[in-house]
Parts: sequence; C-alpha cells; structure tokens
Amino acid sequence: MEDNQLSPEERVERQEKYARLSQALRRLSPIQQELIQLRYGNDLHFAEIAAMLAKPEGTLRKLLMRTLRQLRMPYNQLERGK
Amino acid sequence: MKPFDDMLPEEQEAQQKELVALLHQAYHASLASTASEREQAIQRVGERLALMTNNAALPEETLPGQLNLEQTSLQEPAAFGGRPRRGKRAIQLLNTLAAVLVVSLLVGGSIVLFTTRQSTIAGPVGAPRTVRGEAGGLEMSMSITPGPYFLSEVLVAEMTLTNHTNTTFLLREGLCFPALGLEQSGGESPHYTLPLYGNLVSMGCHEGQGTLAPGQTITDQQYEILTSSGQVTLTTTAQFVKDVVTREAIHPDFGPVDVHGTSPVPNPLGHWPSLQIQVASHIPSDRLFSLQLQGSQVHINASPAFHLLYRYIVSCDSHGVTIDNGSQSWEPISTRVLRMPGSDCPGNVRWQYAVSAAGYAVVAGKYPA
Repeated sequence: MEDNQLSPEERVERQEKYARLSQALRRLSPIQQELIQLRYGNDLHFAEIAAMLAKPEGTLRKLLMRTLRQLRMPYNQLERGK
Repeated sequence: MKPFDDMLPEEQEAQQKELVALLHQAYHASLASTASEREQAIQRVGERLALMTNNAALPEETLPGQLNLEQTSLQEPAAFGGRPRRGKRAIQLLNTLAAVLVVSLLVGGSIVLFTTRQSTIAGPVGAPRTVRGEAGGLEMSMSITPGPYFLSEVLVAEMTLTNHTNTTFLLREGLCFPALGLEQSGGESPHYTLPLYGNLVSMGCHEGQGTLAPGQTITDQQYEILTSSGQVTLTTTAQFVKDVVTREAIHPDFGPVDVHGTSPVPNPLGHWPSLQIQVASHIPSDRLFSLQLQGSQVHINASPAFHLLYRYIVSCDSHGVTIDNGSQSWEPISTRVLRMPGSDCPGNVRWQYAVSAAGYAVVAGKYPA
C-alpha cells in the first residue's frame, strides 16, 4: 500500500517501522548495506548485478540470503521492543 | 512494488515478505539514489567482493552450519578395535621411522634454504615488533612487519582489541574506516607519495557501528606505506562511540522520527599503543621488485612465494571527459602478469600501477610509459 493511502494511525505505524528499519540497517556491515541497497533501492536483478560485477550469481544470492537473515534478527528484536 | 522474477526463496517467505516490502518502500521513498550514486554503490560492492574473492575463504560461500570440506577431508579416519597385531606393529615402527626421517630432511632442508636465501624468500624474517596497551579492562595491541624500515616500504600492521570487561562497547566502523586504524606521524624529509594520480570517486561511505562484546577480540590488518624517513611513530586507534537518538526526516510524507545514531566518546584506554621506528631514506637493494612493461602487460619479476599487493588507476579519456577508476587500497594478487584494465574504454586509456609486498618497497609504473 502506498504511503499516501494510509490512515493517520497506519502512517504513524509505518513511520515507526521506517525508524526501526533504519536502525536495523545500521547494524549490518557496510557491504551488506550496499547489497540491500542494490537489490531493493536500485531494483537490480541478480543477473544484472552479477554481470556488472563479473561475479558468480550464486555468490551474490548467498550473500543476500545471509544478509536478509541477519537483518531479520535485529529488526524483530526492535519490533518486539517497541 | 514490482516483484523480482528472480526472487530468493528467503524473499518469498512470509516472515521476510514484509521486511522486503518495507525495504522497497523505504529505499524508493527516501533513499532513491541518483545514477551516479548507483554506479558508485555498484563499484564499491565489486571492489569489496573482489577483495573477498582474493582472500582464501569467501565468507558468504560457507554459510553458518556448513562444514569446510577441504579441512575435514584431509583427516584420517580414527582407528578403532583392539591392539594391533605384531606384523602391523613392525610396519607401524617402520612408518614412524620413515616419518621421522622425512621430517628431519624437511627441517634440515628448510634451515639450509632459509639461511642461504633469506633475503630472496617472501617477506622479511624475524619476530614482528609488537606493542600492547591495557586500561579499564580493554587491551589493545599492534604488531608490525620486522625491520629494517625504509621509505616507501609497505608494512603490515595487525591490530587487536580485546574487551575483558562485562560491558559491550560500540565502535565506529564502515567500509572506509575499519574498526581499528593505524596512524603515522613524525618523520622528516625525504618523503614518499604513492605515484598514482587521478580522481577516484570517493564512494559514499555508510557509517556503521560495530560492537565489542564482553570477552570479544576484534582484529584488523592494514597495509601501510612508510611515507616519511627518520623517527616515525605508528599508532593504532579506534573510535569508541555511544548510541544517540536524533530526529530525522527519513520519509518526505512524514515528520521527523527518532533515528538511532552514534556519537564519539573519549578513548577508554587513555592513550593508544604506539611504536617508534627508524625509517631509512634509501631502499635496500634486496627489498625491491623489478617490473617489465611488455606492450600493455606488466611482468613482475618475483618468485611465486611472494604475496604480492597491487594498486592501480586506469583513466579513460572519452568525448573530452576523463573517468578514473581503480583500487582504493592494496589488493592481494597471485599473478605475475598484470594486464591493463579498461578494455571497455571507447577512447584513450592510461594505466598507472603499483606493486609491492609486505616488507618491500613500492614499485610503480605507467602505460603508456
């Protein structure tokens, strides 16, 4: 759902989620932050990233897979602690 | 949100879906990058991955819980059962004697080789110089390549920080600033500057933070070129930080929200461990490689035993614009032939390169010469 379609309550909740996400992202290593940005900020496919970096697609997949798992943990902790 | 057609199973898990969607929204709402930022991000990841690939172990290739088969497959299966028979015992004795003989030959041979060819085998020999400092339950140490020290030498500094307290400390850490740093001060003329000239884009550095948990030791390694002669002081540092909350507008549609960041705190060790070394202005003749430019390739005259380091800048002139690319730090290489990068440049290409190894001088050149 787009942000401008949210009710005031939902907007506040979304606002808090962004803050928690920002905090969780800061706990990742720089390389993990970069990969997250490439994938979700720049909307790059693995094949595109692999071709641009001349790196095996599998390596990038594994790196992102591990990054998502790691990101989930601090994010959940922050969610529980809200 | 447009779904990827190459989604990871993890991205499709119910638990992760919300997180992935939130990441999309957050980046597209407030962190949308410009084309140049996107290129910079891609370049940074490429360099980082290249470094990881050059190292023996690719961390992401071995996931938590996986076994390193290379290590385990070399182990002999354990012997079970009763006592060995007499014939087997004799064979064991012979094997033991043979093993002792082989080991003696290897040790003896190594002593002969190292005493006669000490100066031509990889890197300096002798004990590294080490300094330690301890205060408030924190212990920091630094070890550097043994001397002699001379101008333009590449030192390897191993730095460690151990937390003996029950408190978790926060450290400033990022791609551009490892948790433990090395500073060079003092010295006098003549000085040395790495002859790689260009305008490498300083890629945006995400400022992150690392934790130093109770009982934890963190280690960093740094290659440092000695840039001044005379009495030089090498100091290992770290930036301790504390959590701070700031009000930031992270989304254009919302007001400011609480974002947790960090702020520097004074050094809990009181002072940083440092070493003073005497740096000669002349390079010993046995601490220098020779490079030979053949066409657009550089042949390095160094034995395979050397762990070589490489840095470069490649400049592409096209349509009146010069774009510089290159390595921001030393990269380990195993090859003895360097090939000019920048084959995709539609215009003129200029290549500046530098090669060294721990305890050796920097040798640099350029193409066209």
